[in-house]
Amino acid sequence: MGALSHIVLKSAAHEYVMPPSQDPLYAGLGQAVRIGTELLAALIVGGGLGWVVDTYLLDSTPWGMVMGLGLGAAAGVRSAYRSAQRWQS
Amino acid sequence: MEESPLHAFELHELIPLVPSGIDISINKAVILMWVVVGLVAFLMISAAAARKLVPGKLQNMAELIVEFIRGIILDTMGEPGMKYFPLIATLFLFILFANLIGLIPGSYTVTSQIIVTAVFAVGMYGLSLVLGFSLHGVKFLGILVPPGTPGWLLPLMIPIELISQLARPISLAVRLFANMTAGHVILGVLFGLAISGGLLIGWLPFAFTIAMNGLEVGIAFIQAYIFTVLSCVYLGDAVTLHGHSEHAH
Repeated sequence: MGALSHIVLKSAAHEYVMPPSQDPLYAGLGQAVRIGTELLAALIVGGGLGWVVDTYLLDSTPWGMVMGLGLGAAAGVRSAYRSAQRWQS
Repeated sequence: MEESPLHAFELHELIPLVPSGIDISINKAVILMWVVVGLVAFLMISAAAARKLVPGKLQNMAELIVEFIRGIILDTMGEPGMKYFPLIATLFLFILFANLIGLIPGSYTVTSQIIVTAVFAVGMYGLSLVLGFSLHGVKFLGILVPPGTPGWLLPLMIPIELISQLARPISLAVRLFANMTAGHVILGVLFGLAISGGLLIGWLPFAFTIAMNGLEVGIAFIQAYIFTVLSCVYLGDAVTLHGHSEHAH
């Protein structure tokens, strides 16, 4: 409980000076854990959608999944880029 | 001692309850969820009961938490977001207390079950979709077109944006689940080493478990914070359309 109240106190003290997203402690750690999963999740969704198109809709194995993974990678990089943009400014 | 480090995450029903084929048996996770809800409700209600001008310890703590959540909402959604304060505060406090209670040896981390985090993530993302369509109608589909996209790029950008939208609830659910599970697996492995190492060398991994537990307290707080902030960002995107949260700042 001591560590928690310390973190809460610290962030609340920061509150009056700067909003939480610009608080160095939270901005750094927050972005670090955020971006990795964003890349991964977009890849999973892209590949998964491609696989569904392949197996159930078009019978186009493996091209749907190839396209899907490519689009997923692009989407992941894009959302990571957007998070980083927000972080920077 | 050949026990799987994932053994601690297995759930066994304590009170079997299967009315008309639907399994709603009570297990450790369900009881821990009740404990979390009860604890949060008790702490916040008793903190708000006194409401003195000069706050006591408990009231001070509650005021700090409320101010903190208010800061998150104002920062990501602006003034119109304050409508959703009760929802966001409930979400934050539940996840925070679930994470923290899970660190007490012998208890259970509810947020290490992906079904729990998935229900929260899909729920919050679904709410943002419902809000977006009810506030903006068909215009809400405009979030699939990033501002300033040239027309010939649209066939490429719309699938990419669609995937990055669909990835939101998944990344939200997986992030919390994976962080909590990984932390507890590391603790479990270190404890196993401490026991099998005996007195001679076992103190070393044991010392690490203490350090890891301290780190996990920080992670419990940060994960609750991230989950709340991202839920607010997604809600803000839906409310303000082309959310100022992702581009402005």
